[in-house]
Amino acid sequence: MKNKPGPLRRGFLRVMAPLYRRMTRRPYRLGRRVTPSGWLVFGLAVLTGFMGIDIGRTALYQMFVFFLVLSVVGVFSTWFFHPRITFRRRLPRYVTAGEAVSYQAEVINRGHFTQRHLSLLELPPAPPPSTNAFVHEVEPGEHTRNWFDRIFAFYRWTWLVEKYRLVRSEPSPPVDVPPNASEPTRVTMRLTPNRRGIIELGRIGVMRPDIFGLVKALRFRRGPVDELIVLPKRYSLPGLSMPGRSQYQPAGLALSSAMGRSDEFMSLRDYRPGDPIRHMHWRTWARTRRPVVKEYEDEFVPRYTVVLDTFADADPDDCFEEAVSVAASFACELDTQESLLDLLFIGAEAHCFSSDRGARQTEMMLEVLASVQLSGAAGIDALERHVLSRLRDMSACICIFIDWDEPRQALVRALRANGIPVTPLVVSATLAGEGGATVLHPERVAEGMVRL
Amino acid sequence: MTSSTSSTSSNASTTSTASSHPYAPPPYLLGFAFLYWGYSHSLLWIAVPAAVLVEYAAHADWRWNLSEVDFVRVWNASMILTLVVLASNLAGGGLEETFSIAIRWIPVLFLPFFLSQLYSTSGDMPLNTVAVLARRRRRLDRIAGRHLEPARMVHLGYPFLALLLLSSGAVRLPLFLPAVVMATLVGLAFNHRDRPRSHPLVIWLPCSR
Repeated sequence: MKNKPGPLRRGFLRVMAPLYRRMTRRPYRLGRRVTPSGWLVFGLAVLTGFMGIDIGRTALYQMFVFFLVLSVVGVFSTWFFHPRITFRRRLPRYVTAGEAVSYQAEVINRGHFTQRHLSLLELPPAPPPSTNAFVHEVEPGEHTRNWFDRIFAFYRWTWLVEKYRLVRSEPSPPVDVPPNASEPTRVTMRLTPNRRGIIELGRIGVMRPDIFGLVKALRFRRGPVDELIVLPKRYSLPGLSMPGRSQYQPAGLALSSAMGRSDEFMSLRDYRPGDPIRHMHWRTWARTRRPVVKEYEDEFVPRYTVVLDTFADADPDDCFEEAVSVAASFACELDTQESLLDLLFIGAEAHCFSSDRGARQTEMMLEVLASVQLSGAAGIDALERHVLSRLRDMSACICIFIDWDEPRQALVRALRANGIPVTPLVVSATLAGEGGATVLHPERVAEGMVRL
Repeated sequence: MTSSTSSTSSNASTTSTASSHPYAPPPYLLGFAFLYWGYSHSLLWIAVPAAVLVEYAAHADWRWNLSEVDFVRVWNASMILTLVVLASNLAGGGLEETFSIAIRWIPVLFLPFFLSQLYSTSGDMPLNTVAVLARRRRRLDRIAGRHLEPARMVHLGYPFLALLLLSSGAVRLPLFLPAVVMATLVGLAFNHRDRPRSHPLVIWLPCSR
C-alpha cells in the first residue's frame, strides 16, 4: 500500500465517500439523453435569451422564442413515449473481461403502432466503489493534481467509479419494431465487460429521439434476468513445463472420466471391505457365489496445485486482478488430460477446487476464478495450514502472491522443506527481482508470463 | 502555442468531403446563411467570397493534412485576431460599440478556423481544440499515465451556422425570424443522425407518438 493516509485524512475521505456516492449514483446521465443538436439548440436558447434582452436593439429575442418553443415541444413530445415492448436476450455462455461482445435481443412490440427508431441500452448494475477502496486506493498521478482536487479527491472517486464499473454498454443501432409481427425483431446489442464476475442483466433502457431529434425519450423495461459470466482475462504460457513427478491418484481415479489409463482393466480379485461397489464384477459373483471385484491399473499423474493469494484490504494497482488472471492462465494452459489441478484460496472460508479431465472442468475452474474476491489483509496462516494439509497429493505448487512478506516466504519455505517444487510468482507494482520469487508487474504480466 | 508534430502541408488528398460527415449541414445552407449575414450588415463584398469558400469545400478534391496541433494554432490565431480587434475598438470607442462590432465581425474572425476544418483531411476536430483547460487537463492526464478516453470530435458546421444567425440578429431586419426558422428546420430535417429518417419534415407531428 503506497502513502498510507493519516487518521484525519481517512476520516475526511470516509465522510466524503457517501456524498460522492449519492452524487454519482444516477445510472443514466443527462448528457447521453440530449443529442448534439439538442445541446446546440438549448445553448442557443440560453445565449439568445441573454443577448436579446434589449428587444429594441436586436432581433435576437425572436431567435430565443423560436428555440425555446423548439426545446419545449421536443421535451414535451418525449412524455408520450410509452413503448409496449417485451424482449429476450440471447447471451453467450461466457465472455472474457476486456473483450467486447455482441449478442442479439429479440424485441416484440405489443402495441398497435410501429415503434420507429428505437434503441435499446443495457442498464447493468453499477455498484459504487467501497469506502475502503476510496480511502486506500490512489489515482495514478494524483500528486500532480492541484491542492483542491487532492484534498477533495473527487477525481479519485470518478476514477474508482470507472475502475469498478462492471460493464460498458452501448445503445443499439436504431430499429423499427412493427406490431404483431410473426417473428420478433432482432436487435444487435454490444457491451464490454470491464471486470471479471457474474453480471446480472435485468431491465433495459428503450430510447427514441423526439420529433426534432433534440432529446431522447428513455423508458425502462423489465425483462428476464440473465446472468453473464465474465471470466478473467488469460495470458498465454508458451513452452510451460512444470516440475514434479507423477504419483498415485486414487481420488483422481474416482473422479476421472473414461479417458486414459485409469480404466484399463487388470484382473479380478476377492472383495475386501472398503472396495467401491461400482467395481463389483456381478457375473463372477453370481457364478462363484463369492464377491469379486475388478482391479484396474493404478494411475500415476502429476497433481499441480495453484495457490492464489487473496490477502489484502484493497487492490490499488490491480495486482489482485492480475493475480487472478495468472491463475486463470495456468488453469487453461496446464494439460488436464495428463495432469490434475487444484486451486486453493481463502475467501470467507478455505476453498479447494479440483479439476479433472476435460474442457468443462477448465470452464468450471474459470467460473470459480470469476467470482473470487479479496478476503482482507489478515489470515495468511489459514492459507498456509490449508496448503500444508494437502501435501500428500501435491506434485508441484504454483503460488501466486500479491505481496512477498515474511509469512508468504515462510509458506514457500515450508513447501520446499517438504520436497514440493514451488514456483512462487509475485504480482506487484512496487517489488522488483525479489529473491526466490518471480515478480510480475501488473502492467506487464503478459511479458513476464512468456519468460516463465 | 505548442509545438507541432506534423507539418501543415497542402498535398492533395482524396478523402471524404466535409458534407459526408454525419453532422455536416446540408449543401448551400451555410452559403445562404453567409449571404444573409452579408445582407444584414451590408457586407456582401465579404459574404460572397466567404460563401464561395465555404461551399467550394464540398467540391474541392484536395485537402490539408492538419493535425490537432495545427487546429489549435489556427484557433489561437483567430482568438488573437479577435482580441486585437476588440482592444483596438475598446481604445477608440465605448464598450457597447465594441460589443456590437464584435458581434458583427465574429463570423469573419472565426472563418479561418472554420475553413481549416472544412479543408482538412479529418473533416472534424477534437472538441478540446477550443478549450484551453480541457487541453491542459488532457495533457496532464497523459503525463500522469491516467486512462484517456478518445477525444470527442466535433464538426463546426452547425455551430458556425448558429454564429452566423446570432451575428445576423444583432440588427433588426424584418426577414430575420423566417431566416432563422428556415435554417433551423432545414438543418434539423437533414440531421438523420439524431432524428428518425422515417419522419419526413412535413409529417413530423402526425407520425410521432
